[in-house]
Amino acid sequence: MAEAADSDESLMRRYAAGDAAAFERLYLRHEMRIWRYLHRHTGNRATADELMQEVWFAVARDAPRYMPTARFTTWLFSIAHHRMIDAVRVSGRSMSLDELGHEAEAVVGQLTASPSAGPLAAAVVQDQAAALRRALDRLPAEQREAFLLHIEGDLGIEEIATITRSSYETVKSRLRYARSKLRELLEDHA
Amino acid sequence: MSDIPEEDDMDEVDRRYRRATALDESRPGETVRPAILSQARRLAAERLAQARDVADVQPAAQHRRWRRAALGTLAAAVLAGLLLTPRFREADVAPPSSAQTATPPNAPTVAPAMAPAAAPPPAPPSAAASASASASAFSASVSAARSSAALQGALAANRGSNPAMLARRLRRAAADGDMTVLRALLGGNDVDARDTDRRTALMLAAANGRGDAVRELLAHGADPRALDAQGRTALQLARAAGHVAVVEILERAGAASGEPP
Repeated sequence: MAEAADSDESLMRRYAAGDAAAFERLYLRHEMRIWRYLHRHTGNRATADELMQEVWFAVARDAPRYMPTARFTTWLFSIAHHRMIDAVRVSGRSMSLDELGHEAEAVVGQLTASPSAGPLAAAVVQDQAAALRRALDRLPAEQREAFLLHIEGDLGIEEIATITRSSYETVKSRLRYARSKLRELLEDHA
Repeated sequence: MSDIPEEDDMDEVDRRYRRATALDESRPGETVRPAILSQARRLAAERLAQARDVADVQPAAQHRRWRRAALGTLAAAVLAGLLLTPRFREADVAPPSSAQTATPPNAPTVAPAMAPAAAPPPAPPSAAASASASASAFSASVSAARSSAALQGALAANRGSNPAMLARRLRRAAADGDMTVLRALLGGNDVDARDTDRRTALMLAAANGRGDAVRELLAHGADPRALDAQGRTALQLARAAGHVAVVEILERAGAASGEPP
């Protein structure tokens, strides 16, 4: 199967052969998706930063072992998922926005309206963003995980099932319940 | 299940999430990106240095063209000898005829080791006819004979059957991916014979990305866990050079088991 020259898989091959620029392109392409996944799951900026480095260090280190049998993003989010699980285990508790106090408010505040919008529009968007954050935080961890892997990793049910070592039906169910809960919470807010 | 949203509702949830995300200005800390990219650059530089090391010790990669030409010429000469010499010899012992007076009295004789496995057809009635038949037979049988046991015998005889020399030829064939010569030399020779840097044919094939040679050597019992003088396996050499397909072959062969993480 031919690979596009700038596909993720091609960039990984080039990096494995010593092309540092290929890694930079790859990193910039996926930086925010991975960071949002980590940040919105852990709810903690410092933890997300720390995990972010661990994930990308692992990508850089294991590049020569990478086999493009699956999409690069599946591999990448699989690393992120496992790093996050390890971090949760080490911390001995589930990370949640409820525990974060001011930082949670700060995260919510970052979901602001565009600068060109008026103060009222900004307030409305900020309010909606806050509602989304609260809704995400109220999801059970497994449902939030499935939803974030889907929405940030652009992963399908089978890929999420592989990463989380769950069955296809379980993941499908988690995704549906996650969306159902989010819809309810957002409608309540509207 | 009535409490589960329909697809349109699901899409709406996704859209609302993405709208909010598009406005999200939160970013990783300022030190995150430089730290990651710096580490990535360092590893890339290390890999390039390793690849250069491997290339430096692989003259085969740089002299591939003339080696192929030399081997081809040699093989052709040997095959010509295999096919033509027996006819001259038989002409020597055949009853004299007018056509055979042109045969040199001291025509070369065939060495026992060079006797072809696939014997040539019975001697033709005259030397002229023999020469003509040999010429056509030569061109017709070159490709077949290259992979035959005759080539192995011919190569062995031509090089004096010196085991060290044959082992070196084997390593070069592995590094070049010259499957004809490699297959001819594999039977009966030490597949894991080392060079002065303790590299085996498998290591050289792996470092040069010769997947077919790697498979052939593994099929002939080459040791994928053998270490060179610097403690590197064939798998590590393949990885360092970025030969992903070869890495996969070696990992499937169990070369990764027992490897340090």
